[in-house]
Amino acid sequence: MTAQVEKHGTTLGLDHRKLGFWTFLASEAVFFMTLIVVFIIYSGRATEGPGRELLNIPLTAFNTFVLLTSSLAMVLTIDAARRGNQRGLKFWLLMTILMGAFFVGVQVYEYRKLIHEGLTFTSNLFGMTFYTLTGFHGAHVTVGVLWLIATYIKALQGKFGPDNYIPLDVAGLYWHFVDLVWVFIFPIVYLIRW
Amino acid sequence: MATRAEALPVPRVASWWSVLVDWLTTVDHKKIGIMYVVGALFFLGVGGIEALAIRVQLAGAERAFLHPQTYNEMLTMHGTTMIFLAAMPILAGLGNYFVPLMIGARDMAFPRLNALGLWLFILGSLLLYLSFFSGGAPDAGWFAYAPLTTKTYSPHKGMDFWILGLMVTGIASIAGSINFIVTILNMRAPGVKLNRMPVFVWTMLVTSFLIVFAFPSLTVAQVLLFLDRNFGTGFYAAEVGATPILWQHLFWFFGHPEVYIVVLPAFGLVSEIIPVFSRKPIFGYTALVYATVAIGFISFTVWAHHMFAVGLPPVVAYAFGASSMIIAVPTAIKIFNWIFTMWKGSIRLTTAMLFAISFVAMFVIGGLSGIMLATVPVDWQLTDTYFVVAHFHYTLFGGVLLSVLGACYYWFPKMFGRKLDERWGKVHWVLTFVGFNMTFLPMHWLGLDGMPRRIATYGAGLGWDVLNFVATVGAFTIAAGTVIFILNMVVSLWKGEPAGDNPWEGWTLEWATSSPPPAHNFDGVPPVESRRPLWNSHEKRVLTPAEVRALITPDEHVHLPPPSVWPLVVAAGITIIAAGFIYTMFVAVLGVVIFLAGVVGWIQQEGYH
Amino acid sequence: MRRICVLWQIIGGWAVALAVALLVLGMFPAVTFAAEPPWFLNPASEQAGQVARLFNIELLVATLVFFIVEGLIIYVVIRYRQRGPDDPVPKQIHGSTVMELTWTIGTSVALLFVLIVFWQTMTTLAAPPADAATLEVVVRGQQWWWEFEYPEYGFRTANELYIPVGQPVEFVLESDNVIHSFWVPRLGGKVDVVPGQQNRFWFQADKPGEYFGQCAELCGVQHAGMRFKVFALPPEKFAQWAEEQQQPAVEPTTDLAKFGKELFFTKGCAGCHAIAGTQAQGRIGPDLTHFASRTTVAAVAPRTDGNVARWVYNSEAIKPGNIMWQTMKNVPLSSEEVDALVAYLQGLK
Repeated sequence: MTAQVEKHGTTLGLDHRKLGFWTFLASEAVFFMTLIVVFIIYSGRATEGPGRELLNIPLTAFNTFVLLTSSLAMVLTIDAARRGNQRGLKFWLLMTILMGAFFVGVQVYEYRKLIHEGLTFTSNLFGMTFYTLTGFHGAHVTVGVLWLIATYIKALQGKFGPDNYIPLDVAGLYWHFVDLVWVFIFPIVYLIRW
Repeated sequence: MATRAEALPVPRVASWWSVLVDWLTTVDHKKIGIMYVVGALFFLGVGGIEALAIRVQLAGAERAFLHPQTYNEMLTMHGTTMIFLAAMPILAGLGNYFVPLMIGARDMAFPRLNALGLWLFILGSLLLYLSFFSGGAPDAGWFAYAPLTTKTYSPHKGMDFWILGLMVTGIASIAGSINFIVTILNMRAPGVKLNRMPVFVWTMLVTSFLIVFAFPSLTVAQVLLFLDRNFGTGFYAAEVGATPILWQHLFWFFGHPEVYIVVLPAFGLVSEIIPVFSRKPIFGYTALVYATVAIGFISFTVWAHHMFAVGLPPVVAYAFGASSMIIAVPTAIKIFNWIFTMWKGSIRLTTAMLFAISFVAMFVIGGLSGIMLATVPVDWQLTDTYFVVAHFHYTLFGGVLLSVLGACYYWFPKMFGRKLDERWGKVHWVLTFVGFNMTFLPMHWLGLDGMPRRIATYGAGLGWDVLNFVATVGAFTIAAGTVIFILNMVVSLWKGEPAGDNPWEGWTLEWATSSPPPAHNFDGVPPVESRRPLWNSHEKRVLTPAEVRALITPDEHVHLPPPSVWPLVVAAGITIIAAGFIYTMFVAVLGVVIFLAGVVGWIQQEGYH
Repeated sequence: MRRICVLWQIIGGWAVALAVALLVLGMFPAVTFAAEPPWFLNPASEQAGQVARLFNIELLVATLVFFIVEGLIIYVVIRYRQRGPDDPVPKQIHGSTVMELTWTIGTSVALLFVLIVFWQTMTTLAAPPADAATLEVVVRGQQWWWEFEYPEYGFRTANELYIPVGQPVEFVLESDNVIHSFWVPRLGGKVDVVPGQQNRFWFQADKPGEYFGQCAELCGVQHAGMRFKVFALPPEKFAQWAEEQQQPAVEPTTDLAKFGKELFFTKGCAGCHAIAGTQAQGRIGPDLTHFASRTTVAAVAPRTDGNVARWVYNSEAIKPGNIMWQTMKNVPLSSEEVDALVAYLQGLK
């Protein structure tokens, strides 16, 4: 059964995998929402020790820009797949991966610098909530990059095209979701003074 | 359609190895459903034995049958087991078996994900129970309030097993819910409109959404606790400016919807049983469905009613109390609709029906005590006492278990082609019903008389011993009934009265198949034009099996997904990773390797798109 | 066969109803088995009385609903049971908007009534009267005993709370370990004792007497052993008691007791316990200055010589899992030494 046949056989006219993945993302959204709420609740209580003054806002702002741009690349990837443009598909997918990897790299650099300056995972409430929230997000980005790499290998084998782009679509959903979460995390953690 | 001879199999002598492989690699929703139910019944038994140990300890004042530490482990495991390893999977199992049949589908939307959920439930449960052999079971109660659960106050690894075992079964629940949601929304036979779905399917849909939205909160709570216990953080430590109350908010934001996660499908089961045995359609279908959805929404706005004593501002407490009371409205709607389904009906008092009726009668009591507990000042007196224990056993035992037992009698013939013995079934019902009330009714009085829950023993001279003794006798009465139930199942499996396709004159789609149903469920798309597809409204009767078959145009070829070992491999990988977090990281690495191997195999397997 | 079945069903139903009825009737006398059960519907304070009133009103509503619904179920099941296999198919009724509205509105009205009484009770219980002089008691939940400190008088007791009758008592609830819950059923509802958070709570005892209290939140191995007693005394007697408690410990008079006092320091007891007027300043265990004025050992056993002795040399037998045993199991004591410690402790009036 190909994806297209399946699609027509469904009650809502939506592919199972996409519907299922949307549901999964709803669950993930609550997960991050909960972590963000914990961060906000504890922001007001963590007053001692190293705090948010150590955060490098310009660097992270640039990183945010890169991550958002990667979402655009992902859109172009799927668009290329739909139009059967194999070269464009591979190019934009690779760009997405590179930008995602760049984001993770900058986050690792940021962590190392912060730890060096005295903000560790256990140093105070701010450290705990900061590393937990951004760490879980970073882990999601990392999983996303690995997923996209696996997808890229399949793309090199020419497995995607106008008839079969649902797997790309699903990977794209995940990638946009991870970006969207960061759009919330960035101002809440870096910009707003709670 | 399979012939009758095939449809009623006498267990054939096959090589045990091939049978084992067949069950371990199956992706058939019916086999998976059966395994869920069997696993859940097993843990129901284990949780029951833990309950008996608790009752023996409390039978009299100042008894020393159990060391208080063991007692705490028993009560924690009893609660955890009954909620996570018995109630949830038994409903997931019944849902797995019957939801696709009831909506005219051939399988669940994601057959392998379905198998993955099953194996994660089984392996996660075993991981949790491994704690008994690794230094001690969790001992801080099923809602595990920090800081009692932190390393300082619970130094052995029991809590780590609790966290990771429940995370593994939690993944199973979320996977299962996604599957139910997609199946129910997307795989209905063309005639099965949303407003024609059986109420049980509706409740499974709402429950699945509750799981999807409620479980992440538990996961976050557990992750933070795990970090506190093993990585030196202090998310629940007052010493670093945090507050242990955070745990309670996170836990109950999950925990209260969880109550409805298990009780809504039970409502659904009763809504299937009562109409069939009253020979009348369900009364107020639309009201019942809206009430279900309403309960689902409101269940997310009431969590702090578990926390009235922690020192909430009075206005907040009042608001949560009021929103909890509002749940009584949709619940009352349901209760009256069930009663009026029987009104002017022709009630057949089969065992299934007896259980369903006693469910309605007992759930009313649980609901009424619930309203009392929702009023904050009364809750200050009664929270954490035996009154609460009585209350939630009337909703969970009286609600979930009674209806599940009813469903067992109702659907056993469909699943195995033979009826459970009705006379022994009635003995089972009497013992369960009387035993249940003997056990839990006195607990109301104990709570009013100041007996806190979770105490391993109590002083003589408080007047608590008599009622506790009655409760203990009641618990053993239930146990006797359960033994009869198990024997009834085992004997009926081989020697029960052959059931035929539709022994109860049911009218939902599962009764359009043979008993047990063939692997592909339906030969073609079953036509559905009303809420009761098998009901002939002109002649006012249920269609015969031959008439039903005549309605279905067989498909030319039937595609069934091939068996797959990868769900089992992936589940094993995930469980070993979890075990690695408890023991050593080396084990976790091994788990990651198995997990990745499973994922690769899963993706590469032929026969799936 | 079928006839027997139907007969059995009816008889079976009656048997069940009878069993339940007997059970219910059996309940009420059960609470009278104890002389003074901690039955919260027999309140000894205005505050507990308010709650009991709210509960009784709700019970009335609940009983009414109970009999309506259960009566309806029993009536419907008996009236509309199938009498034979040939019974006609009943009329296929799908529902009724009027009836749905009836029970929706009916339930809502009943709930609204309860909500109003509920709100009224909440406001009454809010805070102690501003004009009355309140006594403040700091309540500290420990694993697994209660410490009561009287800041106005400057002393601490354990597991026994004395309060004056007719005066509001405000409790400040503190814990530096796990969560406990402070509860005296006949005097007021429970309030959790939460680390890092100071909860306040008050009641005013109206009748002199002894009241049962217990920790109500699972707090570890000896949660069950975390009992306490409340003694509500007439104001003059309370003042007298407080004055006695302010005195330093009496010096031992007998040789045996003097030896006991010596042991108290050499065996390390003073590391955890305080005795006013001596060098013992430990804060881990209960203050023992007036140990012999209390009624229990470790809140669970009567304070007899035998129990004190057992507590000193084998506390595990009295309160399994208690924290003192973690130290004392490594401290060998001869029977003579035990007797001496008992003599000293039992002399601390």
